[in-house]
Amino acid sequence: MLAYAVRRLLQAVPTVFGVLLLTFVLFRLLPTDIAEKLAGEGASAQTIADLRWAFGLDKPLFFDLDGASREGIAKLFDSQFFDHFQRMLTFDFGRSWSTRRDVWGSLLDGIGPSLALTVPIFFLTLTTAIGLSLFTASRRGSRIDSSLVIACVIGMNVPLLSFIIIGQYVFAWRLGWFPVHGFHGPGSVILPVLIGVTAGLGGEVRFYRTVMLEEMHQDYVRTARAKGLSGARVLLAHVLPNALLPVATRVVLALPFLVFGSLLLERFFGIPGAGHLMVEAVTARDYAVVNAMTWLIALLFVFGNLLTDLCYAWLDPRVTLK
Amino acid sequence: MLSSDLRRALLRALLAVCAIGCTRKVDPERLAAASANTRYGVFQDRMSGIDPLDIGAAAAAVGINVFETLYQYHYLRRPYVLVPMLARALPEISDGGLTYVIRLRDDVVFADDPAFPGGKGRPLVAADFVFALKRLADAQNASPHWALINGRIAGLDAWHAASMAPDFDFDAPVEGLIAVDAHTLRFQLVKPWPQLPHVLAMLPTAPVAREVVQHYGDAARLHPVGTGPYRLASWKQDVDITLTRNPTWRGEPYPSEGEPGDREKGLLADAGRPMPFIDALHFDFVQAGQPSWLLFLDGALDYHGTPGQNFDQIVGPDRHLTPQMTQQGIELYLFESSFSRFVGLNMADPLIAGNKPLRRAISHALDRREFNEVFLSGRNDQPVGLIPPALRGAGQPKPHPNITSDLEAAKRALAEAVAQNGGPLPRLKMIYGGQGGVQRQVGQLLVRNFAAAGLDVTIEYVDEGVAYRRVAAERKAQLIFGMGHHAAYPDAIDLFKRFYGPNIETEVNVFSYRNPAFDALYEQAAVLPDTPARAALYQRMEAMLLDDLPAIPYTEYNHFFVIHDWLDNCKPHAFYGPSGMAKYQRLDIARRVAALRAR
Repeated sequence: MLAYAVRRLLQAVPTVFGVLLLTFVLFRLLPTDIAEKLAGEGASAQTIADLRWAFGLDKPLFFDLDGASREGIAKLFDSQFFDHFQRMLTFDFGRSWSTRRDVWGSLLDGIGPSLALTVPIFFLTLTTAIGLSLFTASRRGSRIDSSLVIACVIGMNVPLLSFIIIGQYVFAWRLGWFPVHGFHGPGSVILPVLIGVTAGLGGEVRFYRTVMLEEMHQDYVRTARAKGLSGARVLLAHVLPNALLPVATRVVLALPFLVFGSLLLERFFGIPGAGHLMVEAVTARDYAVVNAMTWLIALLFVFGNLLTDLCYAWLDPRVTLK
Repeated sequence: MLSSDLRRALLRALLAVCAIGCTRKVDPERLAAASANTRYGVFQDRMSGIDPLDIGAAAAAVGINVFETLYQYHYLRRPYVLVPMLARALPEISDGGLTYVIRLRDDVVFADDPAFPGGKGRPLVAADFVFALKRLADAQNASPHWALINGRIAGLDAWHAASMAPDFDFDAPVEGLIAVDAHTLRFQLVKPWPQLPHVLAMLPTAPVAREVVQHYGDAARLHPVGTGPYRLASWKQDVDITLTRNPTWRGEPYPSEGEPGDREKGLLADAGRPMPFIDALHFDFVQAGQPSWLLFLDGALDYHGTPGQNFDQIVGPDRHLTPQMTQQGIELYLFESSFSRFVGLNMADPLIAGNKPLRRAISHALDRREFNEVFLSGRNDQPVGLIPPALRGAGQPKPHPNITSDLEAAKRALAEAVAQNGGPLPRLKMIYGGQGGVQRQVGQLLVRNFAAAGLDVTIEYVDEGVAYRRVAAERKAQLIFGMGHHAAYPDAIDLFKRFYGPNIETEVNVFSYRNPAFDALYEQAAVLPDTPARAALYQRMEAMLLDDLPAIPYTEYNHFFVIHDWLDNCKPHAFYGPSGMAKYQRLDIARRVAALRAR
């Protein structure tokens, strides 16, 4: 397994570097002048030029041929391209171009509050969805099953924003059960977690119900029933473990991205998480943050994929890693 | 199947829970907060730092309570008039307006901070202003506020250029920026600049202690240390900021004079008393509109803007507060706007530049009233000119005939334009900064307005904040939507510079407008102090622009804000905003607590 993991990581290297190169090229191909965008409307040409210089945007894109001919070969690599790769390899993301804050600092500051929100949402949604899906799958065709499916479809089609606005207005402001806004301790995340779970349940239950139903029609389930095992035992001891492969795929891939939080919940409930970073960076053409986030997401995706494959082998002895 | 007894028991339990839940008790923490002499507000945009070097609008709302400048605007008098703040008096001007000598107060100290020896703030000296202005000019800082003093002070531009060198000496002298002694500052200008005192009332020119910058380095923006009535007590980034009363503040009495009507409104009740009256200012970071508004209705905030989605609940059609709000002890204030919006015309385009009837047709075709109703909840006024209301002075003049929304006039002007063109006009292109849903909705309204008059206009949506002049030239666009002017100080020269011909190259003149007659008037007015002669020049210049129409005004913003009736001494100030009036305001804490208990 270790050899497999190392091989997979080595295979990921060109992928990740490809992502970095693509990000660099695409950003440079944008018609927007980044320095103009940073300077803002009405800025003078002088301010724009200063910004260009301060952020290294006046350097050559790939190679400084003029500089090399004047000052030697070392100057050849004094370019935006090599600055970019050096920073990524050393995880030196520098400062946000729009907020001037240290990118790593912003991310690390936001991870804790984001996890305080996304981890409970994730695990509550997962356990509730699996429980409900097992329940309805075992009652397929019944009125309970139909009602729940209809509720799930409705839930899937109601936007998260609607849940947030209604939930905040009714339960926080009208009834005063929870704080309207602010991150002042564990009590502050109860309402946003409940809203996040409610909004996410519909899609999750539908997916897991399908997975459970598929397992329930397998031969081993019929065999277990024929042997006289109780319904609960059949579900929990036989169906659920065999349904874990697709569940593991969904769960393990999602885990690394929990650190990036939930933009809407954080915004409406004042949770100072990392959810806003990528969205605001893209809007503001904040290349430093977009670059950093793309790099981290690429690494997390590679790691998540590898973890998923390793989990397969662990969950299903029939799977061998080659 | 549940038994009927069990069902009844469950129903009773559910009703009991609802009854308990629906009974709101006063949260002890909320009560404690309401009982403190603290003003509560919000900020909705992220703050990367509070540093005069690159202070933005959000940070300025907080920073204005921490930093002070040489001059300030009188809180109550209108029109706005400069009065000394850190300076002892208005500047001594000589050499035909080229030399300004400013004498500082000798009782000002920086707030206590670990950056100073022993943690005690030291006295303010003239060198602190030299340091602060050099920071703006230092190219390594890439300050957006360098443009305020660029090209004005003798030797400073050369110093700025030299600051790009790796071995640059920050302390190299600047001939036009001299600390003559500890309390005397001298400016030597490149040419007369009567607006210098106004610029010295702007936050980016606030003095900064070198020790603070050296001690905190890049983090200095997170540790604002000023000479103001408040100092930073705590700051949790993207969460909240608290400022507390600065015990070493020099002190300042509440104004003893205002304009007619101020006494009757109770605005002179505290005349002559030492400020500030509030011990602490607390700002929460609340990005979304709903929670912010709910917090205000709950009494957790003392003042608030008027969110678009709630505007109709707050302000009635007659621009008065709705009864629903009045019953809750809420008061409505209207700020005169220092901001105007226009549609820019690309005067480098031969079709636009050479056809004045076409420009008039475009202006008349814009349905300003409809735009205001659909997108701005009817809150704004129809423009009467280019100069924003806060700079116009008393009285409401009639709109200039060229900027009225009049479909028939648009059609007549278009017929003239076609005749002048010698045939049908081609399709016009407009660029619009912003690519979101709202922008596209505005675009649809504009295209419909133009089409009703017979104008064929297509819109291309571009990034916000780009160099519009360059983009208009590249995309061969005749119109630029979303231009505007925010007056940083009460002097219209700042607006007129945007139409001055030589400013095309610096990107300030986005409209590529060249009019030698206008340029001549501008050059005359730019060196005149505030006199009737200059006011007459301004009138002529505005009339010229409204006749030529390189920019078509389409709205004058009205800024409404609401306060709870326990916040006193509030008078809308176009240049300080609701957050910047803290040192003048007073809280009726007993009333606030009573209101909370009554909810």
